[in-house]
Amino acid sequence: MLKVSIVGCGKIADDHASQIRRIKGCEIVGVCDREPLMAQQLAERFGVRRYFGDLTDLLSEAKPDVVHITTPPQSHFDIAKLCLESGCHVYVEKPFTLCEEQAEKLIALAEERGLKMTAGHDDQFRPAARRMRSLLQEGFLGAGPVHMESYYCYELGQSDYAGALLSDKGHWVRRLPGKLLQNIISIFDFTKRNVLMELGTHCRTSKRSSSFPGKSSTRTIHSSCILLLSNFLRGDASCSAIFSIGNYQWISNFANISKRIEPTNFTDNPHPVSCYDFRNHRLGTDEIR
Amino acid sequence: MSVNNDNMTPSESDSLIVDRDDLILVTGAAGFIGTRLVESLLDRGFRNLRCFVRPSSKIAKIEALRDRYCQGARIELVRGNLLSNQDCAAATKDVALIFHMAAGRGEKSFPDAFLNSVVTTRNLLEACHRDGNLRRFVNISSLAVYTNTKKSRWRLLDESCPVEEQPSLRGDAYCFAKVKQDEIVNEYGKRFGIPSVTVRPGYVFGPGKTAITGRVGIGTFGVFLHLGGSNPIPFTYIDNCVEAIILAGLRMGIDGDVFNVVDDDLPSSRQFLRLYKQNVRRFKSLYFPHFVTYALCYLWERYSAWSEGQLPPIYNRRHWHAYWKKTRYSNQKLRTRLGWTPKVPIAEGLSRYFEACRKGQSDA
Repeated sequence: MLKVSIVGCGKIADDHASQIRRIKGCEIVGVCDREPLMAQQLAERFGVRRYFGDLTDLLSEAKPDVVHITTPPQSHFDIAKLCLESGCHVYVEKPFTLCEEQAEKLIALAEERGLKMTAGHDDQFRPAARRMRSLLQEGFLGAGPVHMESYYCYELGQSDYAGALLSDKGHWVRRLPGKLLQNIISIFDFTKRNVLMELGTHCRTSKRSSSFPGKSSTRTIHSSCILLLSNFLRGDASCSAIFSIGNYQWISNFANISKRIEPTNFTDNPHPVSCYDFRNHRLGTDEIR
Repeated sequence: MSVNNDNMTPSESDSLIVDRDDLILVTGAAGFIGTRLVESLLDRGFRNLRCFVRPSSKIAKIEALRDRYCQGARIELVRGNLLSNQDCAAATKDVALIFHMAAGRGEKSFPDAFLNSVVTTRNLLEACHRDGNLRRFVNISSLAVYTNTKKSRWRLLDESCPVEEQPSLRGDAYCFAKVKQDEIVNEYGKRFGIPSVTVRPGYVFGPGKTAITGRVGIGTFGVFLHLGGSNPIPFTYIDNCVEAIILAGLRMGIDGDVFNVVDDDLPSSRQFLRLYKQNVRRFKSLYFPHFVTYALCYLWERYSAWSEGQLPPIYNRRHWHAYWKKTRYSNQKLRTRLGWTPKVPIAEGLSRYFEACRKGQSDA
């Protein structure tokens, strides 16, 4: 039996708990939150026997094999480091760390201890993402990723995100097939000129889609997408997208892709955050055993 | 103690737990009920109020009250977050009575609803415990916390009815949070002796809130699905509800009690819908008999379980029992223990509500 724990009992922890419960041979042995009431409510709803308000207590008493870190981004490094030092495999929600230096340290620590670690870019393993990677490797699209960051926003009134995506019907995201609306966007800046955006964390179930009441987001059920925006930062709106709804995939050109972009070999990428993320290091029970 | 004003007789004011100069805290003071509560307290002659609002709250109505009652009343406006212990300490300092109206409403996520209702309430109680001046904590709960599962049709729902034992199975984050909020208020009462009274209003309506309650039906797919049928809807008009909340905060000898708040002469769902269409706007509605809604809830529940949450389990048999089962409601305890009577008859309340709906007045 693989013993799993969750640190950080906010909204996303519900999804982790429900998915962990689906995996045979896994048991959630403890949940932890700095606010014990939050840990208690998660434990109660998911039938977890133990909850903790202190991470060291969780690690020493519940002795998990795997720890899912679903805390705010600024805490990811310290928590992941402590978990790795305690001999736990870790799953870190996106963004992986706040900076590349922290990511390098964690990766080095995981490799030194022979432990598995992954960032929560779960859409990387969906058909659309795999197809995109093959297109990159074939040389049809792509350039070396040099930077990765996640942009968080749940405030619908926040102009930087929601204002653009939800209030502005003319925004390019709103013109996409399926009118995709997401709440988390990961941006991969390709040599500061090309941008790859992962849109996908809010589109798998109606529960998630319903986070935008009153908006026509139900069409996003079962869909995921990976967008490649060529030269977006230079103001050139040329872009293409690979969509997948169920098993169906297609590539859509929203404007002309004037040229093929340089092929990318992700495994040679000197930037560990992206490199690591693209290396198919999925944390699975078989892999751990 | 004496409170001398036009709205209270001397004998009434003698049986109150606070004087008009004692500091009263209203959390959620900028909300639909909170604003009206502040106004009503001022009308009753209480002149030392602290209004706690979120940093993003619109405070025009409270500022208008402050201007109107600038002579003789001190209305302190405090912006803050009840998740902050520091803000809670500032809010509860020297407070004698708290009307805790603030709550997480509209959250679909259980953790969010819990955080904004339960953790905030705990922080407030903890601050009260440290401050040590509190004489009563008025906890605003909801009729939604009751379970109706084991009751037969047309049974009376009153304060003696059981609360959901497993509120997470209702699939309703608001219900879950309110059950847990009530629990933590009781726990602090037992552990630290914080005196409290819990008020559980039905559906509070009035000008400023234009939505039709889900107990009547659901507007979707261009047609309003009428689900309530002949069920009485547990309405309480805003002024009547505020009156009950204030009495629950002031009356002596009711610590630890629970009061449900519903008006007299409750209309059935069908009657309400007919009146709404006549007075506000016409729209298509399709009536679903109770056995059909029960079957649909059952199927939804089963599919949700089978698909492992592909459809969120928001409709299920527990939900049906709580919202659409034929049930009667009582305000007997409110009348006998608090001396409450609805100041605004339901017909008059509905008339005002429909007029506001026609004018398009949105939520406060």
